[in-house]
Amino acid sequence: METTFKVYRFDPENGSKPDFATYQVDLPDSATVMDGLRQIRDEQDPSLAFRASCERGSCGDCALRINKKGRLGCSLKIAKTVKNGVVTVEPIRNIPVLKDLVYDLEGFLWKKIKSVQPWITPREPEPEGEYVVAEEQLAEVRKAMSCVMCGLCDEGCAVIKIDKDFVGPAALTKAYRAVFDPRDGQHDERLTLVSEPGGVWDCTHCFEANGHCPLGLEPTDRLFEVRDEAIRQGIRSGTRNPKVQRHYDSFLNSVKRSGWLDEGRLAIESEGLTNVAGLAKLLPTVIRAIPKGKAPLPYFHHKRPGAEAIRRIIDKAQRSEV
Amino acid sequence: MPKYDVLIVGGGVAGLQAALAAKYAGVQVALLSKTHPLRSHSATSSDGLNAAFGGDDSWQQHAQDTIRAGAGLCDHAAVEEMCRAASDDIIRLDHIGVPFNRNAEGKLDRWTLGGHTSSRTVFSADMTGHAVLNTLHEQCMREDIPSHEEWLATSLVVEDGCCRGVLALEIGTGNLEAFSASAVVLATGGAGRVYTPSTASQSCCGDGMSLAYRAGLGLRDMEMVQYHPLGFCERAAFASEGALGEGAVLCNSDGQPILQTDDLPLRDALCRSLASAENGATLDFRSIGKERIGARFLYLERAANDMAGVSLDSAPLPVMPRMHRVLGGIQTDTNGATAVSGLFAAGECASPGVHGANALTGNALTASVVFGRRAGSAAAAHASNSSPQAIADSALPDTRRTLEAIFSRPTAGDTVVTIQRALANTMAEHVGLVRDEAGLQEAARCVADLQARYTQVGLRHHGKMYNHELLTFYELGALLDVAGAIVTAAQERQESRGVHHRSDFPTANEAEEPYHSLVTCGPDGPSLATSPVNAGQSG
Repeated sequence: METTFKVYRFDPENGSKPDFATYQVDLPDSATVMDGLRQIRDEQDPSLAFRASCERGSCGDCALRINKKGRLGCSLKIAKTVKNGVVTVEPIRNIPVLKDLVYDLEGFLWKKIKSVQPWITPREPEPEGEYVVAEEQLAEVRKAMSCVMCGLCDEGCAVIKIDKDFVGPAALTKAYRAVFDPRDGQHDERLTLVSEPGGVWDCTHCFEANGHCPLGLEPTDRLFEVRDEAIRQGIRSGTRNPKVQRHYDSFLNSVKRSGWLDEGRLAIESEGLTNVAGLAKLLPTVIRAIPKGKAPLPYFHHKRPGAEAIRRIIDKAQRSEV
Repeated sequence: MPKYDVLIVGGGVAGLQAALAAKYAGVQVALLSKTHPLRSHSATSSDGLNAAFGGDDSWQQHAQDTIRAGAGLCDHAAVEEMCRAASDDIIRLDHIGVPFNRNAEGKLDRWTLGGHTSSRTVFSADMTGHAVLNTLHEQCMREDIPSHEEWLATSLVVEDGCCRGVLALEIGTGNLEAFSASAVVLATGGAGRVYTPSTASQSCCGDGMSLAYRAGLGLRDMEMVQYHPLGFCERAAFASEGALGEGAVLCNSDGQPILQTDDLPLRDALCRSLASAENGATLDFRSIGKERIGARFLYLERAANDMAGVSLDSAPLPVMPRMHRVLGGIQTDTNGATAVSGLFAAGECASPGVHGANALTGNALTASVVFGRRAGSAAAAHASNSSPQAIADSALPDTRRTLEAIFSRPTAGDTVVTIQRALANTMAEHVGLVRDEAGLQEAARCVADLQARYTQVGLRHHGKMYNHELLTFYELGALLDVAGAIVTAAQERQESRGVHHRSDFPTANEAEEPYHSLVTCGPDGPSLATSPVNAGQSG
């Protein structure tokens, strides 16, 4: 099968700007995109750089953007992706490119994975033999652990695109593996850790991670399950960040009082009533908002219809938490 | 110059085990690896880990099965060490988070593999290597073990019979650096790319075997090259042999079963039988059912779909034998120690003597876990009793000059890729499942010719960053060393034993005591010696 490969090229050594180069390859129908790249490098242009290791979808090293979709190059047949005889290959997005199709995963993936401390600390008392655990419990952990750390879920993530500090679905799938492993002795500590800003609560529910995972591991759902577990365990977001805590308290108290959100109160209480510098920072926003009628007076928030029912629901929920 | 007490070269299962063991022993340890550890070939290991967990099984029975499979070439002390230690190592892996499959009682489930007289293989679906690798990597993160990734060790620094460290090339920048260490553990993995087709990852180039060989050490039992019976026909992937114990049926091209699942044979016999089957074979999972396939063959279900276009619950998967691993390697003792003081080796690049002439399925990963740990501990103990010596200032400039000379070679004619392809094809054709004198002579001639061409080959690309041609140049050098050792040892062994099958000598030579082959780097190429097999128990 003759195919045209349009390949992203960038070589900082020669000072040229990024561009696409075109190559013709002729490979059997069973060939993968990685076979095509290899043929180019081996027979046409030895300067082409890309990563590849296991050649069978086990290691995640060859994640690339192929015809505008994040894919593993070794597991994707040319015949399945080729459009009008052309395969376009680029590095994945939102990541520093080092050379051609090689990109820097250190800050994008590896540091974030380490930041969720995804290691198991054996739960006490540590048994002499194996932990006795139901297969059903470990099956989901095993599935989450089959993640090959290709980074494609992070590549598709709508939040990382604008907030590089969000740890992202790959690291949080790794966190899931530890949170739901019944052998782990640091369950609550990890939940607390990933409930901090930049963690599970920064996801905006776009479900892009699910769509981008080449293994069908549904990272968005895993992340949601970690959230649910944090709620079940009564672990609040931002326990290591007083501002976040104040934000949550204010939000809840506002809804409990009036049935909806008192934005003025939320802004003030989040900064802290005694935090003069923080409150001063709000002033320019308030000044801009007043002429447009967007600065309601805090604490004089009228109740919405049904506010009493909402209060009762919250009361009941709080009693059940206790 | 980075300085460590212990430097681990290679980030697969054996390397990570060694790194953790050294760290727990309290020394300063670092990893240096050609790929990120999670991209290591260990991730493809699918069969599981072997250990006796009581009941009707015992470590002695595991040892007997191992020795029987090894066809007279197992070092009994090494086998004993592995079989005794395996259960504790596996329990430790369970405690730090490997999600091994559970039985109805919530205990470790086990499957039955060929050559085992008991069900003793614990597994994490068909991704045990991946799960162990990830779990060990988590613990290495926890221990903050420094990791130099995408560095290729280009040579060992050995002075006065002691290993002082390594010289290494940073693949991303082309920089050369000397890493000084009181002890070095080679855990660089196998050499599967010396053949095609094979199940090898791109990284399996015998790097560590070659480093040791060039440092004067012997490579043991290199003629023992194992094939995997259940390889994909067009890709490096393979099905776990656990499939056969789980009820998948191996069939001929007419769909007729060709194997009784209640008496699973060893790999070598199965491979030779499959290789002689006309029109190929298939592995049929349909009787297992979709749910069980999903629970136990997580990887294969996806790989068969993506790479072979087969849905396992509705169609059989075409399979064929593919070269899988070189069973031999750097000669070590049961602590991973080599004949060079301060140099240790573990994992697929090493030969502590457990596999003999045929590895029992599941023993390879088990050996990496057990001997990786032992090598790390022994290296730490060695380092604690010595202090790192600075590497001579001349070492790096010498290597730079060598590199400049390589870059200045003319580029007409051969490329590193053409030589590598010719080598892998030669090995598959003449040093494969069945060998004979004429084929081995032809292989020896070809390898020598390719070695000569390698000394002249030029590089077309002179960039420093991610210069894959330069990386291939180094890897090809290692592959040629490994090929030379395999062919030399295979020529000398005029008998059939284990995976080494000679059509001109179809039986084992019972008239002589079994012996290990030991190939060293002589002035005129590979030089062969033999050594007796240690068939006694350890103290």
